[in-house]
Order: sequence, then structure tokens, then C-alpha cells
Amino acid sequence: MVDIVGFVQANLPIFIKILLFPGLLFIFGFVIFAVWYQRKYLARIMLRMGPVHCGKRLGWLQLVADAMKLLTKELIIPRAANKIVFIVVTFLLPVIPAAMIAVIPFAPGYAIYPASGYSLLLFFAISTLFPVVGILRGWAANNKFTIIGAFRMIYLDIAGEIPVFLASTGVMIWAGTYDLQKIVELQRDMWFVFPQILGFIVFFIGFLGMIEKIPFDIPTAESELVYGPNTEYSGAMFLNMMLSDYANVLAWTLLMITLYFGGYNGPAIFPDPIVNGAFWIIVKLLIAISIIFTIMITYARLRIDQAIRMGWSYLLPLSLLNILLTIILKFFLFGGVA
Amino acid sequence: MMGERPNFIIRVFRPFYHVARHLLYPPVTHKYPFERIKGFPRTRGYITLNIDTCIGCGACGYVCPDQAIKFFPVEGKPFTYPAFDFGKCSFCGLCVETCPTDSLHFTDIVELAGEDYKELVYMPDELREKDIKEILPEMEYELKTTITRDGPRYLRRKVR
Amino acid sequence: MSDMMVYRGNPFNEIEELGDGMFRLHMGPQHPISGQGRFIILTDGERVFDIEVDIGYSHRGTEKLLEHRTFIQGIVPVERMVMIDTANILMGYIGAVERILGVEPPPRANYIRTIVMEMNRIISHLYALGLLSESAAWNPAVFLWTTADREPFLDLLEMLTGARWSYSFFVPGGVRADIPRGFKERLLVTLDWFEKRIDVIEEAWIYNELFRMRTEGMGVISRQEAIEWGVAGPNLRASGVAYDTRKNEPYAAYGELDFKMVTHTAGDAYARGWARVEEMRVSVDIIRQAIENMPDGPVRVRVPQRAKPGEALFRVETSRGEMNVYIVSDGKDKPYRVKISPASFRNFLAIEMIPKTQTVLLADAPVLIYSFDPWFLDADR
Repeated sequence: MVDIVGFVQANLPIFIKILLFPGLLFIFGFVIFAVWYQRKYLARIMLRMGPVHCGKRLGWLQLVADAMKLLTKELIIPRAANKIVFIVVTFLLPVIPAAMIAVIPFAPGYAIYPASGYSLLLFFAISTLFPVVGILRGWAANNKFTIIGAFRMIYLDIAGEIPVFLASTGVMIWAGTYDLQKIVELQRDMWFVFPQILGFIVFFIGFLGMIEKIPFDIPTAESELVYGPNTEYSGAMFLNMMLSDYANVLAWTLLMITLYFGGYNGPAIFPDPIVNGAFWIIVKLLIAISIIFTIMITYARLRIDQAIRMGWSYLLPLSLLNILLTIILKFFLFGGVA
Repeated sequence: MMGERPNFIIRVFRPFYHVARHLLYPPVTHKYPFERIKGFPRTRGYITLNIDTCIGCGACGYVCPDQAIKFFPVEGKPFTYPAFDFGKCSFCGLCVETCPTDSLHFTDIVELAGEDYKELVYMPDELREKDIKEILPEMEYELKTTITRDGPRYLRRKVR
Repeated sequence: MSDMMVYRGNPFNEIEELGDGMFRLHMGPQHPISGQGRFIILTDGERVFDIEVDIGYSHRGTEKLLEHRTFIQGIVPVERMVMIDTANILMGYIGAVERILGVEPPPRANYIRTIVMEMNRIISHLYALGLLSESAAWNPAVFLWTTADREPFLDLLEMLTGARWSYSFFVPGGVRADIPRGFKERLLVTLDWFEKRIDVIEEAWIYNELFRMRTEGMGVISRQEAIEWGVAGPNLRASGVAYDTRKNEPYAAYGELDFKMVTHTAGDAYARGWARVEEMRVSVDIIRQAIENMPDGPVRVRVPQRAKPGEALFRVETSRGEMNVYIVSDGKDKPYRVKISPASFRNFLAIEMIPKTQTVLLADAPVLIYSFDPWFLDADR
């Protein structure tokens, strides 16, 4: 007989991490908040009101109502679909962004899986799984719109991921480590966005491609592909797709904050370092998603050929130039000390 | 002719300025049914009939493009009077314009709903404003504020 | 890529093979961009080789309906052809009816008609711009701004005609009512405000670098092609052809007003979008002139019920281009035959022609379609 209570008590901090703060509850809470915030924020820019009915003035219960509605809807699986892959993918997909979030430090020494020494590499390694599962969902539905969306997703991910990785290589060289915890600690005095401004621009454009939002929501292009690879998913499976999409936004935004904007660093207004770190990372998160939503509503979508050309002919050379500049700056001007 | 385009920086970042400004404007949306817009004097909504002045001439039924007006006798009255099928009516107003005794009038009530198409047929003695307002039994208690249309809300605020 | 696209292991295979990995993509009748029609697109996944416009989903037999209605009753079916542009559409029918009845509307009615038609053109162009922005992006702010900016004009039209659309306001022999008190002041305030709004829309969307990247050089129609294919309206003028029925064959009060014709030379989707923005400025100018120079007098004259046997043709510049209405009468109070030649139908032909002359990608297809401001109910009649 396994002593479950004793096991939980012995490992209480890790359970709190997995279930409460950077884990399950935080991701669910963020997704619900982000979708509500997106609807409210975009509605105000569009001179609308957004949800107002469910939950009094601000419509904060609207997303709960929507989730309930989606959960009670019929699950429609197309006759021509590969049923096993079609269903399994929906449960597989939200796991990947959650695993990416696991390596992000939220406070000094506070991450689900700190992966000391290689956490940035681990983040990129896990993130490459996202398009793989993405093409599975496009293929499994056996629909013209989904398969075109899946192919576009692969093109876009290859064109976007390499510049993003090379841009963050600049940070790795500047900090001299792969460890996100140490990268954050090194930004105590100065955020890396200032010495790495060129790298940040490349990272940010590639980042918009990785989270598949305007101007790079090419795989799910509503105008021509309805909802891209997700077209055939309905009800609770659609809910899962939404969850994974927004958890993906969360994971990449957290990485951007960690690499360039000082992570959890901030003036100490709470005595507890964990609360303080969590507070500052959430504040930075809100500002970041506001900017992402503003970009979403302002711009048009690029064509796939324009996006790929941007990735290979502009972002890639710029990220290589950034690495060169970083090396010159660090080893010849600062003598190897960041 | 094509005008001059501004430079690249303005083309990329100027849209953000307009997007940010629109956050400050009040919404255009009316919270219908909690707020109800008052119509203009000419607003063409449901049609009422003054049965006392109607002479049953049938001009409205002749001119109606949708054949939405049929004539029925009313108890204790000498003529046949128009009954309106608002399910067919296109609210063009030709009947109101044609009426020689000015017995037909528009209201500004535009809520057209019923569980059955037969509910939209109004017999001559039902074509009174009081009766037509009864089609909104659930809404009536929610009509808290009525905003007059001095202008669209965001006209009052200066743009740019 | 093309080989992988065909998934052969399934008896219910939806992806059929059409030589060399090509397949047909059905955009519509249930699709975010399709409207009341269907676009059948022959593609290999990214490149579009052929667009087939499948119209007829909303055919209502308007021409036949008109044969069973008196001239004045015909107003209702005609103006439901294009709900967003009812005044201009109705003007074509009313103009033809007036010619066949042999009546001339009073000058004040002509000016009121001009004002209503130009406000309707603004509303229609705003809607077209909104759909163009929506086709190139995901819920851009401009889409809802243009929708909201129509409101003041819809209010004004309700004040004048009694309805927000399908005004039924023009009748043979004039208009149904004079302008109400307070209308002119409110109209002038709205026009001042709207001119600033056009600048906002232009800066936020037409000058937007990403919109430019999507539309510039895409769907180019040369001057010669535009004439050969019979492209109509702002789309024709965007290709450099100076043809506007308001100028070339003036009706209503256009002959007495001084306004410029918007022509662009590029002929691409960007020029078509921009031409609409500039036409709204021209419309504002026309409304200002019309309301200032409006003559006094009656707004409606009596017309005979029956027409003499004969025929009449009337051209009108609707928001989507020139529309011809041809009426034959056999001496009764109803037309013997009405033939309507709408603008959208000719624009759909151009959409079919463009992939045959140049490279169009799948992502371009919605932008290409909406740069023409298509309207299925117009083409279906």
C-alpha cells in the first residue's frame, strides 16, 4: 500500500507548483482571463462593449458560460477522419505549452522543473513538438482546409523558430549560460532588451509567428481557411484547442519576459520573494498581452510567402548579425563580463 | 490620382495611434433591450388604424405591394376594415400615404416577433397602439432608459 | 507537397485528385467570406489556378415580380436587390419608370434624391471597406469603425425617409417628403465630423503597411482589360478609365453640381480600396453642394397611372458601378417586361478572369474578391 498522504505531504511544495501557481490553475486562470480580456479590450477599441450580460457589468462570467456551453455540445467527428488521432491530439496539444511553462522561473528558485543549466534549451526542445502535433490534427480531420492549414503551420514554424532561437542565442552568449534562472538573476540591474535590442526585434517578430497571431495567423487564416487545422473540432475539443492556443501564447510571452524584460525582477513591494516575483511577472504578462492584442487588431495578415521571406531573408541574417555584435560587444568591449 | 503616401515609419506605427485613441471613446452600442432608441417622427414601425374615421375604401389594400392587407368586417361597424399581416409587410408606407381619411398611422415600435406567423396578423380592432405595445410583455419592464437621438453618442466627442 | 496532400487510405476520401495534386476548394455557401454564394477555387494548396463564381443562391426573380406589380409597387422588390445601396438601385428603376410615364420630377426632388443617393453611397463604400479589411485580417478595428461610422448617416436617413434602409423614398414624380426641420444643420455637422473620420480610416488602414503589402500589385486589371471585361464602378475607375455615369450621362441633380471623378492608374486591389475612400470624400462634397444650392418648390408631381406603349432605358451609377434598367410597356399600369443589368454581375466576371492572367495565391482570393465589393443579391436579381 502506497502512502499517498505521506507522499503528498513529503512533496507538498512540488504539488503546489504543479497544481496551483505556475501549473494547472494558473494556466486555466490565465486562459480564461486572457480570452475575456481580449474580448473586452478589442471591443472597446472597436467602439463596442464586449460581454456585459453574464456577471453584471464587466461580463466576467461570460467565459465560464461559454465554456459550459462548449462542454455540453455534441462532439462531431467527421466520417472521413482518423478517429483515434483526431481525439488523442486534442488531449495531447495542451500538454506541450504546459511543459514549456514548467521551466520558466517565477521567483528565485521557483519553477516546476528548474532544469538547472539547460532550461532554455529544454524550452526550445519542447516547443518544437507543437507543430508536429499541429500537423497531426490537420491531417487527422482529412479536410482540405485543415490540411492546407497544417502545411502552412509547418512552413511558418520552420521560418519563425530558427530566427527566434538564434535571437535568443544572443542572450545566451551575453549571459554566458543556458539557465533561465541565472539569466533572470543577471538582469537585476539592466534588462537584456537594452544590450540585445536588435535581437529583441528579431525575437519579437518571430515570437508573433510562434504564437500564430496577427500578422502571422497564417495557419488559421479565417478569411480563406475558416479556422485552419482546427476547423473540424467542435464542442469540448474546440475548447481544448482554444486552451492550447492561449497556453502557447502564455508560454512564449513568459519566455520573452524572462529573456528580455527581467523575468520576475522588480521593486520589492511584497516581503515574500515568491509573491513579489509572481506579482511582477504577472504585471509584465498583462502589459505584454495588451501589446499583442493591439497588434492583432491593427494589422493585416501576411501571406505565407511574405512571412517565409521575412523569416529567411530578413530575420535570419539579422539574428546572425546580432550574434556577431553580441560577441564583439561582450568579449572586446566588456572583456567577457556581462 | 494616387496621393502621396507617408513614409515607412508612419505607415507602420501611425495605426497604433488611432487604435489607442479609440480606447478613450465611449461605445457606440446601445444596450438594447435595456436602452431603447426613440424613433423620429417619420420612423416607420407598426401601423395603427383609427377605426372610427376609416371608411373601408380599400385603397390601402390596392396599393400594398406585398398583399399584406386583407379586409374583414367588424362587429357593430358598417364597413369592412383592413387587417395587417406584419409577417408580409415591408413597412414601405404606401398604405399610410394613400389613405384618403388619414386613418392609418405609423408608430415607432419596430419589435416584430412571435412564436407563430399567425401572431403577426392583426385584425382591424387590434390595430391600436395600446394593443401593439402588448407584443412586448417581457421587454416592457426592462425599458429603463430611453435615449433621445440628439446625435450618435460619439458625435458629441471631438475626434482628433 | 502535392503528393502528400492526397490521403488515399480512406474510402470516404474527401480530397479528390485532379491531376498533379490539384483539388477544388469550395469557399461557400457556408464560409466566413462567401456571402450568399460560392467560390469554387482550383488550387494546389497555395496557388489559385481558377476561381469559379457560383451565383444564383439568392435568385428571387425580381424582374418577373415586377411584371405583376404596378409601377409604384415595383419599388419594394427592386430596392431589396442591394439592401446596403437601396437609394441608388431604386433610382435606376424610378428613372426608367419616369421616362416611360413621360414625367419630369421637380428640381427640388432631384436635389433631395441626390443627397439621399450620396449618403447611401457613403454607407455602401464604408461597408465595402470594412469587408475588404476583414478579408485581409482577423477582426481589424477598422471593420467595426466603418460599421459604426455608418450610424450617423443611417440616423439622418431615418429622419428624412423613416427607415434606416429600404427607404422606399423615391416615387415616380419626385420624392415622398420634403426635408424635415433640423435636417440640414444635423447633416452639415455630420459631414464635418465624417471628413475627419475618413482621414482616420485612411491613416489606420489604407496607409497601413501590412494592408499595402497584401493588396499592392495584387489582382491588377489593366485599362484595356477593364474595358474588355466590362468592369464597373470604382473598380473601373481604379484601372484608369474615366467613366462615371454621374458625369457622362447626368441624372438627378448631378448635371448641375461640380464634382471630380476619382481615377487611379494602378488597377490593383489597393487602388480599388483607395478609390472608395476618395469617392467618399467626393460624396461629402456633392452633399454639401446639393444642400446649399437646393431650389425651393414642390417635391412631387402627379403622375399618370398608365404608361403609353413603348420602352425606356435608364443608366444609374450605383455604388458598385453602372446599372441599366430597361422597361417595356404595353399600355397597362404594369410593365410588360423589365430587364435589369446590375454592376455586380460584371464585377464577378472580372474575378473569374484575374487568375487566368496572373499569379493569385490562396490567401489573395478573399482580398481579391472583396476588393471588387461583390454583392450576390445584385448579381442574382
